[in-house]
Amino acid sequence: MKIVLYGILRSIAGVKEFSSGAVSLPALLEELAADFGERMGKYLYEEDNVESLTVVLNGRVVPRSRKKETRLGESDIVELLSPIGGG
Amino acid sequence: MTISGEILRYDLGRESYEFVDWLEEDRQKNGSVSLRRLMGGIGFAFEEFIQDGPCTDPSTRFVINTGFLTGLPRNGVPSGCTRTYVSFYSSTKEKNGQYGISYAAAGGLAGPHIKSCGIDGVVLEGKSKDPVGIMIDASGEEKEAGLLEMDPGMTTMETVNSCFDAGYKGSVVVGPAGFRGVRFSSVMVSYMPNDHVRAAARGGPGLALGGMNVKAVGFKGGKNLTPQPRDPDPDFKEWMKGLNKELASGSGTEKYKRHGTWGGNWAYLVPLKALPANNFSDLDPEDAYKLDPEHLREKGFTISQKGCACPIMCWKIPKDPQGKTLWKMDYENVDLLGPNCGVYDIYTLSSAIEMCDAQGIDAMSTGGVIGWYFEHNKRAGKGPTFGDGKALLELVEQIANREGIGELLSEGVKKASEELGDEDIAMQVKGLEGAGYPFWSNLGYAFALRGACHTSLGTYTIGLANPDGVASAQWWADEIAKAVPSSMICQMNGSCYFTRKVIVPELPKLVKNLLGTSATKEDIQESSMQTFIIARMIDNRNGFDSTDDVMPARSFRRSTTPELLDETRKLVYEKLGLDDGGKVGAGTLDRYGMAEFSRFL
Repeated sequence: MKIVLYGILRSIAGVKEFSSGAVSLPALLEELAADFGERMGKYLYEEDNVESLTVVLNGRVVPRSRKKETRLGESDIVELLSPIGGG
Repeated sequence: MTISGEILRYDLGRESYEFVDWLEEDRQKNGSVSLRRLMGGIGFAFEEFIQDGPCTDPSTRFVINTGFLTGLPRNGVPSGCTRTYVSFYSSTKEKNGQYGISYAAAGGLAGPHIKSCGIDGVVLEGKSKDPVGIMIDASGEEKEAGLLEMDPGMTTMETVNSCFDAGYKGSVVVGPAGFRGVRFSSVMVSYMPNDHVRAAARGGPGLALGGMNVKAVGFKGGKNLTPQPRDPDPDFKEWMKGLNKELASGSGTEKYKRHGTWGGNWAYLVPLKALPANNFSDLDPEDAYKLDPEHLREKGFTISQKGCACPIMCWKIPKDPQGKTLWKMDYENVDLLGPNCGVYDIYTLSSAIEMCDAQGIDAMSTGGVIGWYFEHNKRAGKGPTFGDGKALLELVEQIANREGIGELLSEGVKKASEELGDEDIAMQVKGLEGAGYPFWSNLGYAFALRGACHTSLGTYTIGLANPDGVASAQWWADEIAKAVPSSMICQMNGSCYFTRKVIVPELPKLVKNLLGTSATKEDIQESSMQTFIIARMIDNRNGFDSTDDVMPARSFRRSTTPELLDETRKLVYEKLGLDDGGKVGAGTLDRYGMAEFSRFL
């Protein structure tokens, strides 16, 4: 599965995209936290940014209410975005 | 306390002024001082307008003030809190010749300099006979306020620099456009000499202040006049260090520092196919990458904000591979003058934004009205249309000078479309041109105090991120009712909007230690709701009601429909305690503990 990062997530990870075999969205986020350094883990979990992340699965936004139950497959493309809020 | 409790009241018609102990004034009038007035910003300012009759002239009253957190870290407040607020009758928010209330705010250093004069702000009324600067000098034994004749034709930067030359370190200025009658004229707030000015732009504060014949308000502080917390608790001082560290390097502000609002929003809205382009008609512009800061960096541009002391650094300055420095870029200005007008050339945008800043017009509204005009021309099959960068620059100039078609466009998109037609694509709410987010993703615009403004009712990103929720009136009503107080509170404490994730949760502690009064999260929430209700009362008095809580036809896409808005409206009114017509009644006042305001109903 292809994972594409944008904005602050891309800056923290230092990569634009990577491959993952995670079977669910929560598992993918845990993998992201584990594989891309302490800062990523802190950003996602300690600083409480998981809820505000926007997840686009195969071109469609995953509603916040369904993030926890979203299953992922091998051919999926997941885009992870962080809203900036204002401008 | 970090407020002085004094305010300058200046009657320009009578050329008289008084430094007033407003805390004592409030105690005498009401028996106590409300939390909203203590916190400041619009919480203080709107109450200054409540006793006015119906407003038929936006230049009736104007308030420039600060919040209790406005200042510099050495004054005992958190870093990044330099907000200056302006509150005024809005020239864009007109109904049948009457004007509703609005506000605008900006960072810069004017706010801390207002505080260094030993005042929390300035309340202006009446009109000066000639164009003047109101120069407030607290450097001597007595505070004084004098009038200085000023040339209304000076650009905003020239005006700021002339204030600096005269020793006034902070200033709030109006550009030439505010004296020519451009409805969406801005006021600009100073930072340092020869530095970029900061725009408090939305809703026409420049026309309101320019209409009073005020070109600038300058501030020269005195020694030790900035209010400071008295003997702060050592634990609190230590806690404040941690807060400042979080503001400087925590995740709440990190994304602004790294990407700015421009890069951050590009990285969010482009993948979501939600970046407004071609007058909000095309939300998936194929040329968007040309203005992506990442793409520009790959082409050899540097995009940074070197030399700025602000810990947030929300705007960025591009420098091209040849070393040419461009004008400062914020997301809204880049999108609305760029993709929204079909223009993707960074140099054209830099010139357009610089011209808006220099002339003192709101770059967001300017982009909104030109985007609409381009589409109007496209429909008519004549005149310049999307993608014409040369025409964009000419139109900005014509609007600022009110020449040619610019005279009509300077009235804003609502008036221009009433005159020329195509109101269905005039992307405004209550006369204010939209911010750079799709209208369908924010039904909150209909209820936002100043119109189609994302910070006035910040439900736009949750709309984008919840495509299922977007179809439910109950979901929208719940989100809007939550967003009203949280949007208001950001305008009534002095901190930057972009620090809200860090500052707002800590307000009870900050209020206790810096204002010396106890306030729970619920008390603060109630104060912000009271501020909204006061504004709504002023608007009701000026004829605004449920018929104005509407959105233009193009807003209705996907699951966002007129019927959904109608249903949401009813639920929002119920939740906020307004009557079916969107008006504040005695019941509303009881609900928010504001019975003393019933005399203004």
